[in-house]
Amino acid sequence: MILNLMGIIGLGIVWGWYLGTFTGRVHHLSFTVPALFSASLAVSAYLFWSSRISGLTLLAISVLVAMIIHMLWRRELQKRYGQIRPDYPEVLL
Amino acid sequence: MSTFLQLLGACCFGILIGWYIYYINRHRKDDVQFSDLVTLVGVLGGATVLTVFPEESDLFGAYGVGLAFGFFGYFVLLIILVKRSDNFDTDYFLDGRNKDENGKMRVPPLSDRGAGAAMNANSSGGIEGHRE
Repeated sequence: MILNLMGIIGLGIVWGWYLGTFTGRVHHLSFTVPALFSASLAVSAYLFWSSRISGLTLLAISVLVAMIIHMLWRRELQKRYGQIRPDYPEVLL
Repeated sequence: MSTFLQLLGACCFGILIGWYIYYINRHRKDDVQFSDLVTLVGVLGGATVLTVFPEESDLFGAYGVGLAFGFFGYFVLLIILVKRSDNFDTDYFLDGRNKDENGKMRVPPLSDRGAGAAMNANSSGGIEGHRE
């Protein structure tokens, strides 16, 4: 049981970190955001189906924590080194 | 109840997949592609994974833990390599920027990001061997 929950946290932090990589790097906003949202929904639905509400809650928390940490880190880097590609809209900051 | 060897195997499989996910994302040529997302959702909880590691089992848990280890293992190794290199700084993680042979900072084109591109950079700041 514990290992299963740790596995869900593992999935969550990988997915959250992955979502964080799009901070300030989204070029085709109309496609990327719905695509990422749909994929997140698919992962959540799968976790809900397999582990019910406890798994989904754990997934949501770990995704959010990893995404926020990654976004803060990237923002800190941006402050230190300057704008990421001036031609890119900063839609997720 | 899974044996230790089964758990170890699931964990190692997860490490491999996690490592590969980071690799694929790092060498992404443009914004996220639909095929990337399908692949990613598939490896996180697709039919194949569920066949091998049934949901709510310890094997699935070991796979998830391995996935995180592989993914962040790649990231940690990248941090170490960037720290040790004279041509890369932490800003590499923003958009792949690095120094060319003359010590000038350059941001590689989006289609040429990644270590392979950096290693193939020529003196004029262009990229060789990555034309498609």
